[in-house]
Amino acid sequence: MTIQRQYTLPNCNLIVEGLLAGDESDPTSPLTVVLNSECSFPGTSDRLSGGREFLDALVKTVSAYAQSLLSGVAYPAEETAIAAPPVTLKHLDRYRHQLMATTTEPNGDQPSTTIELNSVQLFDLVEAVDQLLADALTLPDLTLQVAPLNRRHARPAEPATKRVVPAIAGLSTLAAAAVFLFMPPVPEFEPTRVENPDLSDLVEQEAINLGESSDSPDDDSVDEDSSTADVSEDVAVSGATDAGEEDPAGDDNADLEEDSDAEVETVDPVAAGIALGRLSAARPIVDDATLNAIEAELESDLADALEELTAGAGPNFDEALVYRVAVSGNVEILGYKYENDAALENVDQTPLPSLTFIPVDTESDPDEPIAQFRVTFEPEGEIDAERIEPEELDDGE
Amino acid sequence: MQVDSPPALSSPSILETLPPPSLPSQDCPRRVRMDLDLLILAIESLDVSGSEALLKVSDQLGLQAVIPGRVQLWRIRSTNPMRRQSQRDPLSIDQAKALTLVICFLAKRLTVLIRQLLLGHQQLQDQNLSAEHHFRLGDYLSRFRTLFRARMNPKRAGVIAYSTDDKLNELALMLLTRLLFCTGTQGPQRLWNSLFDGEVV
Repeated sequence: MTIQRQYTLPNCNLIVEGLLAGDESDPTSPLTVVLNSECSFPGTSDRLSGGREFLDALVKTVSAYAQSLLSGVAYPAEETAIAAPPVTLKHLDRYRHQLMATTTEPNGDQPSTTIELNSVQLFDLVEAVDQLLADALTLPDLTLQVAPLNRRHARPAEPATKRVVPAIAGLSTLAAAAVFLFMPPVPEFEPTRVENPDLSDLVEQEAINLGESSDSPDDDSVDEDSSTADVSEDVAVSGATDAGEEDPAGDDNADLEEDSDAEVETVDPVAAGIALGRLSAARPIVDDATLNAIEAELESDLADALEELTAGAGPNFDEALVYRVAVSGNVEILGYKYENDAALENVDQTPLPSLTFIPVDTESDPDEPIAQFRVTFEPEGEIDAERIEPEELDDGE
Repeated sequence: MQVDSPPALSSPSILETLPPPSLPSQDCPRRVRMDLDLLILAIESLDVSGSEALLKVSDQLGLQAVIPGRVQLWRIRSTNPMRRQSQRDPLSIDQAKALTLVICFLAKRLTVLIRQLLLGHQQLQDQNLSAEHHFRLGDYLSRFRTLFRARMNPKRAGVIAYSTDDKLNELALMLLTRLLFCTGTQGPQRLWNSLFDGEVV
């Protein structure tokens, strides 16, 4: 005996037809065989029907879709899915859903029906299915099968492409920064100041000058070339002197000295001149005996240093070089200034840059008494230091 | 026999209808706390006396042990990380179950209204009209926006996403659809399981 069970909702009717099991006189006994199931949506002409296979697929699809709609997490397709599941549901947009069913006709045709549902119609379909599932008197073997989805199905909040963007942006910024920072040259590290800390030692200045000058033939002028060449050339252009004539000689000299390794800190003419200017306020040494002793020692110091510098080959300049030199009480050259153009150009041919010592603390007023000399380097190699009287200095300044 | 302490409160049997999820920790994940509070917010937007009804229903369902009163309800709802006065307290599974049952119960009461609003929204969409053309729908949306903005911390990333009226309307309609699915025969089971989608191990 066939019997019909009907689940009626405002927007969906689900009818299940089947054979009664057991006592045929008891209308409440469950169905055993589903002959036909039909799903229709009042108000529309849409109608889906099929056998048990269709009903099972409908229940499964609708149930999973309802869960994904509730949670917002998409349910994965069945792992053991057959090529074309008989019933599918998919989003059309936020509030519309498409129900598609493929039924197999007895003659082999597989017509598919597509029905568009809104949220309320879909809910009624879900509710009809739920009522069928809850109904123990129709198909007790069909029950609600819902379980939370595993973590691995969780949809990331952002799509993968969107999540990759910040990472790529970060990496490309890093790469761009690396390229830009690669372009400027690596700053050259000059360890000289660290290697000769005793040079800055005021007390031992003289001893070092004397002791080292014997084994280090003033390589400083080579180093100096690079830094002072610009300065002296600029001055030379403005002074319109015979710079072109002098340059080759300077280069030769540099070549000569290139094989020496020892490096002595040197003071370029500009810094030395500034130092000299600062010293103009210092107390002059007035004691005649002291001045004479300083004069003699300065002359011999300079002569020794010049000999070392030129390696005994004699001076490399044609004109007398005249400098104003400030000297401390223990014959340390504290500053110098050229008095003629040749003196500026050929300053590297003299030992002055290497012998000059500028105190680190330049801001404080010099309290050490100084003496000033006019030092003349003759082309013949003679060095003459001549005392400059304080009165003359004042007039000159 | 003398007892020194009152008998331990056993969790109400109605909670047994919802299976415990196999979570990595004993507390509810963040999304569960947010979803439950937002669903209640939607109920409050539908029904002005929603929070009163909520307490009454929890009494009717025998859930006093889990939701003893207004303060506890507020504390439970404040586990939503989006809230201004968000509590760091965890939300226990029993509390989440209780809220799920109460939400479904209240949603069932509001079935007619929920269906009306969703059908009305569908019609407005078909005619390309804005939600304000439907009086009750517009009312629901504006009340939801007001409640949301009053209670949620606008500096939170999750709240910033709903900074515009349109975004909030979308959220309100999404919650309305979820409430509709809660009204069904299997509403509590469906809602409960959907809460933990993508969270269980």
